[in-house]
Amino acid sequence: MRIRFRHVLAFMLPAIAAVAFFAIYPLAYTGALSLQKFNLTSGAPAKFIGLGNYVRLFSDSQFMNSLKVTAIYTIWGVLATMVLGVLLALLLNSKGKLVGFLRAVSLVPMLICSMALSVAWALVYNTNFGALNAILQALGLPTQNFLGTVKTALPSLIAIDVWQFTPYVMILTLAGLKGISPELYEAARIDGANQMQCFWKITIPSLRGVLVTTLVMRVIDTFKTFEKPLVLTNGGPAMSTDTINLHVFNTAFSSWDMGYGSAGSIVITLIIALFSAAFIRLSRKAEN
Amino acid sequence: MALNRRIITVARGILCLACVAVIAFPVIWMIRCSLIPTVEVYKMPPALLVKPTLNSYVNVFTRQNFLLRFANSAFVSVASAGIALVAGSMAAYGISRFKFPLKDQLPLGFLFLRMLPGMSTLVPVFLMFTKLRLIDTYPGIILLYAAGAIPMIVWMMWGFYQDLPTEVEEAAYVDGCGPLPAFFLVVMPMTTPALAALGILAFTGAWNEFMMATILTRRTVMTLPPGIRFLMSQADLSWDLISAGGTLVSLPIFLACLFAQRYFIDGLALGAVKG
Repeated sequence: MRIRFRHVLAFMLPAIAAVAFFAIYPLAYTGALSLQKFNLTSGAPAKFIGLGNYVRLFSDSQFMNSLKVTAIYTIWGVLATMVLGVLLALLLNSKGKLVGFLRAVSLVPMLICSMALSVAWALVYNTNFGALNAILQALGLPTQNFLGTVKTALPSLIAIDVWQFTPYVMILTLAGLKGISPELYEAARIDGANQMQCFWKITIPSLRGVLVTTLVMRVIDTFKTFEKPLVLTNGGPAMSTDTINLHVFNTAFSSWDMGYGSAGSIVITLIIALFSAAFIRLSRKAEN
Repeated sequence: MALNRRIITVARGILCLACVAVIAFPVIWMIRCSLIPTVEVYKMPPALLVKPTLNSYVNVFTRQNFLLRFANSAFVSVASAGIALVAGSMAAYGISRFKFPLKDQLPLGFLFLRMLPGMSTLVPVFLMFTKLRLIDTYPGIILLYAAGAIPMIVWMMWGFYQDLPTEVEEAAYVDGCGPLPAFFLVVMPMTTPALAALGILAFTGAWNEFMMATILTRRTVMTLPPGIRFLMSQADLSWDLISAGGTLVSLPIFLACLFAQRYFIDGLALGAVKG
């Protein structure tokens, strides 16, 4: 059977056309819009202003604040989930039925709709009738306005991230641990290695591939945080939880500043592209 | 030594249960709030035993249009996952079997597209949808979600087809079967487990999606996630209704975690689940 060009076209066209129309063209369009002054509320036609929007971005204290908030959120969220997740995996690495059950339950936070988990946590954090304050009260401790003060709002959101993604890191680490051949440990034990040596010389190096790719995936996901601050704090109080994704979204769809919002989108895209390139390189290295 | 081992097993069991409790608590609390009378939700301290009621569910279904929202979510997710599976696996097959220019660069291109955050394209997509009158239409949101899931499917199926032996298709060709019938009648049925796994992932992605849906859908096509957001924006904020919405949108995911665990865990390692 000779494969002709029309066959290739028939197979490739649906997917290529879909991503061209809904992803590649819009991405180029975002790039073009980012070079224009274009606000839907003003009614004025779009005007080319070169890099004007980008110059404005980096002197805009609100945008810089959103970068800072996202950096803090990402660093603490990723660090805490990685350390806790790996620790739990090491402690729970066994074949018991309970661990299997935990694995099934662990999937829920990372898979349920971000709207649902925002609702769940709104009910936990609520100042007047929240579950956490009920527990504090029962223990005789003062109740807190978790999402309402500058000091506690961001840490409270990071805590949700830890709740949501520690199980993710744990599951992936458990899968990585399962892949280490027990013969390695036996051989080491015969050579007289103790448990600490086995851990540092066998467990950690064998897990390196899994850990590095998990870390980069976590950074990418955390960087994109949007729904949680939107629903729980709407970026407040005093913009202390205004993540970059939320900030740019509001620039485009609350202020209707399409040109300026697009410039923000391009900055987000470039940062994610950088991390994605790192992810692809590292996961290929891990495979070899 | 034996005693030591017993202690470790027991300690491990306790740690396991503690983790389960912490993970499950917020979700169970939300379900509880959806099943009790409105006044009980606001009681401090909360009563531990309350007579359950389905009032909030009756309310969201009859007064808040949640029947339509639920049906919309189901239809949009199933349709977009189906389209993405067909288009995505066709392209993956084409890349792994045919020779054509740039084919070696394509998989990596799709992988990059998979990583693309929603905000990269949302502004132009909104402008395009407005111009083409696709706002609040089923074809608009379904095709957009399908296009969003295609890169992941191409990437995963491409790896899969490369490991699949070609003998069966070649036999089909010898029997006079063209490439398209050979693909649909011979190749696709051989890959049903992989397609099922990816279908579940694509369904979950569309079912949970909020950012695009909140901008691109209105009264008619609105899915559950923006529907919940809409409940929260109402003046008489009632948390029992909102909890019912949150529980409803989680139901298929609970089922999937119970019955399709393995698929998700395989997908996680490849970064197929979006956070």
